[in-house]
Amino acid sequence: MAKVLIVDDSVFMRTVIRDMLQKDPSLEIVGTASNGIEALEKIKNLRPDLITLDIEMPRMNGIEVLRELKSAEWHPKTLMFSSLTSEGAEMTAEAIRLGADDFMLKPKDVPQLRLIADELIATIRHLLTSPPSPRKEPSVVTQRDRNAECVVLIGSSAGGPPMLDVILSKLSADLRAGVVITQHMPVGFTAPLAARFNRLAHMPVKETENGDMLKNGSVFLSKAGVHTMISAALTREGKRTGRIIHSSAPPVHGVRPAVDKMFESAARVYGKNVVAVILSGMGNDSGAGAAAIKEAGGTTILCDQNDCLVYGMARSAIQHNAVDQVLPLAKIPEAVERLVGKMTEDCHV
Amino acid sequence: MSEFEQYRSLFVAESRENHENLVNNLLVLEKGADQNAIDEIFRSIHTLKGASASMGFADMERLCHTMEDALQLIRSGSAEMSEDLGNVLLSCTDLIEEMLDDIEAGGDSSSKNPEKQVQALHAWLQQQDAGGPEKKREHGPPDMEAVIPEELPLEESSAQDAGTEYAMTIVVSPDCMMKDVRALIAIQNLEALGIIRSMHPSKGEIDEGKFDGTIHLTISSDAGEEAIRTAAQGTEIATVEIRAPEELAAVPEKPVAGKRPLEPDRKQSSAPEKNREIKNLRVDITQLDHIMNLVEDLVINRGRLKQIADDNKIKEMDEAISMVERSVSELQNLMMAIRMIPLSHIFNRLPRVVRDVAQYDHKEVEFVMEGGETELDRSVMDGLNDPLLHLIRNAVNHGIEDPAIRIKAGKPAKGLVQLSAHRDRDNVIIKLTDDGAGINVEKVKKKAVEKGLIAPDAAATLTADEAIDLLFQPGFSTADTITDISGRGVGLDVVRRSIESLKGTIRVETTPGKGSVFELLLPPTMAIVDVMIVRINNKRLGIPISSIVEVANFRKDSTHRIGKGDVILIRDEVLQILWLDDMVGSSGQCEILIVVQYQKRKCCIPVDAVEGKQEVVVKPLSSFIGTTKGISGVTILGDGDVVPVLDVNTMQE
Repeated sequence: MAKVLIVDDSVFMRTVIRDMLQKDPSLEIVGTASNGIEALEKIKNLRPDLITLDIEMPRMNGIEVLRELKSAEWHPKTLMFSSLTSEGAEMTAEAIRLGADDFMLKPKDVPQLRLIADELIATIRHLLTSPPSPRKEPSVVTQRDRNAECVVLIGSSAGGPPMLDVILSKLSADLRAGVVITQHMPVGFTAPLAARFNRLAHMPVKETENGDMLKNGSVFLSKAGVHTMISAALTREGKRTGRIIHSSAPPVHGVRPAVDKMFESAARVYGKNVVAVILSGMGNDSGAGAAAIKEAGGTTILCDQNDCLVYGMARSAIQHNAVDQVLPLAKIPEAVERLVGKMTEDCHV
Repeated sequence: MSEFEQYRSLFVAESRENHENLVNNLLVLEKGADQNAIDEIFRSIHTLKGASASMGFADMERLCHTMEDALQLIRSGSAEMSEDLGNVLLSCTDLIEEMLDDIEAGGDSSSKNPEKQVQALHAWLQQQDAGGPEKKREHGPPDMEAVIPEELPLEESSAQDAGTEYAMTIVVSPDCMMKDVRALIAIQNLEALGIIRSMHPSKGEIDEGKFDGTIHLTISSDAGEEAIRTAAQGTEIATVEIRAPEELAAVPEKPVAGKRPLEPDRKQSSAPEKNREIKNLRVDITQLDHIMNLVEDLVINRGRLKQIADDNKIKEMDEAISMVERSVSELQNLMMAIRMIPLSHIFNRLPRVVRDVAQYDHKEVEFVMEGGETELDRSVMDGLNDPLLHLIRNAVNHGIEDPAIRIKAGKPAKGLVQLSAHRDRDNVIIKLTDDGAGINVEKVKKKAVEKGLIAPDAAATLTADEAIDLLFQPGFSTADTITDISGRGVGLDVVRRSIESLKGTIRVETTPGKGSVFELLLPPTMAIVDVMIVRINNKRLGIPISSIVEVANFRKDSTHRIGKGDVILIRDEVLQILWLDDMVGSSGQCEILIVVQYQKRKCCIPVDAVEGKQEVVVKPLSSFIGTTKGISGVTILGDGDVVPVLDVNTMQE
């Protein structure tokens, strides 16, 4: 049984979180703490495998706890619980920089708690089974990187981040394609997510900026609050490549960034040189985009239902009759590399 | 929805604490900048907001969020706390309280619309915006990341729904080899973002090579200027010019919420901490009451068991019972301790009351509280709230004079109202002191005569104490006008009655020109009382030990008859004799006199015999019997005998 310590200054939140975790018999809640000082004390004595950590707390906040943990003798995995505010986003980014393993948004809407509970448990299980995050030097996209002639697009929503962990930690650094991920996230939280991915992926990962050029072997995570679209650009040598454009068009399917916007725009620029992957997610964002990709000759991959927390986005792709392959999560990186390999060969022939 | 219900009471309990903490720290803040108060305020609002969001109470969440916005300006130092803002924020907290009440009652708080409060805060925010543009700049360059509120507001995008029309001029570098290809890529990219309304030269013309490197076009798009510019730009595109005439004027400048200043020292003073630790006790009160009832039953049955063992002289049982007895006493003590709540529970709401009353009356009042940590039984606490509230209002409303009058009287303009509590042996004493005008005894007498409470000649002979007692008569009020805040029909008579129903007493001391002191004497607990069991005419009665002054021999030859009653001279004092013949019948063989005291008045009760002292559970009389003067309740003794417990306070009348 994995030992979990819950750290939150609100007894309400502690109760809600505890009740959610109790649904998983493989997790043992060894204690709760209402502030950072208490948390450090309990971490020392109870040696939990994982702690859920609130940021705003009296006496010692979550950020300070992370700082203190650096020099502590026991290092639990840390899952931050963040508030949905710009301040919360900044603090979350800081927490990830300080070594927090992952973050989740504080549960909203108790009526929807079941889904949040599933996601929380999935995230915690994933964290517990993954090796300690490598403290590698952050990679940076360098100018030497070649302009991407192929693109791998990943659309993901609720339940997606742990799956992205798996894919990104397997994709090799010399992938001859640019990768763009659209993960539905509240504004401000994509930067910390990108920072986190950057720690465990072989390729450098960064949040998109308007005008970023797609490069081989680099990953972009769509910035939340704007749509990430892919627009055509020509290299000096006259080769066609892609460029990130941030559009402030209204949300599609209630979300911004929308996977559809990314898929549709990329299909126009990259045509058949697109591999689109659809992971877990609610709603029906991605169906129309997947259809556009297929029409332009690209390939779409769906993750197997067993590996998805929510199958809504995948279902919308199926309804659009726009699916080439359905693969278990573990097989997806391999398949992506194979497909990219084939495309680049075609390009050079 | 079951999960929802499951968390409701927890949500309400925690939110009430946060609400209380919020209000008190707002009041602190109103007196002047206080970093600790600001931190506490933010922590409380933050938790309130988080919890209400979790429960799906969007209105409360929105209200908290707007409050945070306003307070952020205070925290960052770019605005100052004012009375106006204080009023708005407090009206917000009032609404939060109403929402919590509604939620506690099973509602979803949607009947409480926060629009008014939110608007008021927005108005204040706008005022700050307009008032202090220079200060705003101090926050550094507007950093969009930092100011994007919660979810990106929909208004912003819906304003662009129709798409904005941009006029563009794209110039391809003159030395470019494939001008037309570059131009067509730019156009293609633009087409992906919006609809091109007009273009010169047209696509067909470019295809035919009629292209000199410059394109003029208009495009309507909702993607934003930045996106359009980027889409048009590229290698060997020399310049991209964009004009959006309607846009220029239309973009509203967003208020820069100001970046969060550095985290203040979190290891703050421990004072608020201590409070929080006490508050951490969370037991459902109905459960506690139930346990208490069980403990009471245990106490009664322990007595019965003891009786049985005594009667049958079973030694082993006696030993066992003494073991049980020890555990039961400890359990009982523990239960009593658990039921004790610090007075701060009701004290904490009072600063707000003082502030409101003082503001309403245009008086200046400094309110000081002491002894909030003194503990009282929950049942006593429940009954104390309203009387205390009333006394506090009175003190500000009637006690403290207008600033001008105070200055004339040589006092500081700011009046002082002091509330203190302490434990004195078996009692908790709560004192409310004001340095106001004091009670004008003559005015009281005159008013009592006017109201027909007393005859004019009787009034003339009253002592000051007796005159003050008139204040507690039903239908008496000294305020010249009935104000919105105090008065309102509830007089001091109700206060006294409530205090007496708690087995407490109220006493007033006043010095004209210097102020008044209201002293409440309360038993810390109501449920278990030490009584002396006495016997009259073979019937047993309990008399609370706390009201017994002395037990003396009764010598019939030293009694005298004065007027309608008998009196006796004990230790140079003439004391009235209270015969309980009406209650238990005459015995004619009373040998012992129990001297009891209520406030300053002593009297004595003749009894046949004293049986002993016992801790008993006093059960209230059933509503069928109603309240009876002189009896506070009944208790069941070990042998199953039901014994009335005297109430010395009311029996003298």
